[in-house]
Amino acid sequence: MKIDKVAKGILKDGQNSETGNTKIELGGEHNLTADGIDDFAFKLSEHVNKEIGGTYYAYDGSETDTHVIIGKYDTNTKYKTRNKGMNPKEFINSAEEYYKYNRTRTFHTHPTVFGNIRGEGATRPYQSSPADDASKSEALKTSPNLLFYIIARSRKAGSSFERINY
Amino acid sequence: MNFSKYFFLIILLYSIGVSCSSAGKIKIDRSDKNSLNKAVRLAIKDYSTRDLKSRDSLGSFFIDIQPIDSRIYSFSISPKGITRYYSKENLTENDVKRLPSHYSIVDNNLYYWWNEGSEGKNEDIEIFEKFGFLVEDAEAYGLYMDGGIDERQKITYYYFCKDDLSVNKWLRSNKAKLYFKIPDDIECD
Repeated sequence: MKIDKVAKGILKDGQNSETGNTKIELGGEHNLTADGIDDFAFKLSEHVNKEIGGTYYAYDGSETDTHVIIGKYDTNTKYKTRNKGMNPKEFINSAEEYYKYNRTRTFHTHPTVFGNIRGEGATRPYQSSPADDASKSEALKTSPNLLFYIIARSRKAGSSFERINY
Repeated sequence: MNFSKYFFLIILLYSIGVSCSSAGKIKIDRSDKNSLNKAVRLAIKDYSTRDLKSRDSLGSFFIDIQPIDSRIYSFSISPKGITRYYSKENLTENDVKRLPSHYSIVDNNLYYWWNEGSEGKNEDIEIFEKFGFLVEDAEAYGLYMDGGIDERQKITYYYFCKDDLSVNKWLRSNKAKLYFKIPDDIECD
């Protein structure tokens, strides 16, 4: 798959983000930022016409985000996110390690095609659906400090995507 | 009828099909000695006999309690997505507290919710395991939820007057901006 102008270092050689969850470390050799990650998620979402979900983590008491896990999207659709990368289990080896991964923010994309199908006009990708809101409410029961946002095509010139908190 | 008229009709019918809303009222006698749990159980009975007839598969249903007015009990019912809680073997005391504080089983379906100030209980673990919330996986840790959002999923919202549960309204929709807005035609003392 070819997606133009995404931040370097997001995907390693041989990594398949479609069928496997992808864990990415912020900073590092390529100085990866949340803007770069979210831009990648947006462009991937537009390219495959599917929602893409992901979750940021602050590892071991860090005050800033250190990692993001992007959920595999092979069973996603333009209306569905099946996996938002909320479980770091597959990347760790012990309970002690698990509890060092503190979830901070979780997102999913609304691809541009989304708004035109529903008959609700161009504003639709910029609003959370009732299912989004219910899912957030339930997730807060286990992760009470988690923040939620949608990534959609920017309505302003000069940037590719925008974040909508909900 | 020419092609453009057919096209318009198809678009209209499709739009109605994917994003329509419906509304109604649960007919019950005027009641006193009301409580949130009583309202929830009335709603479950309504949901299980009406909304489950053809639209949803059997399984688990999340009841989202959202107090938005001191005179009204307000909550929604929606099918649980691919929500999982790991794991039975490694549940900590804190994990158990974060399990749903209440549940009701109607027609082999689980309805679960959290009441403010209440916590999950050890004696309910078996129920949540039975309905797939907990899995036996020695290598899994903690408690989490993930995925399963279907943006087209319709949610049923319920509004009951606290002083008289016979004054109530349900609204079923997948339209944005309808999340817990008190309907204009419900008036409570």
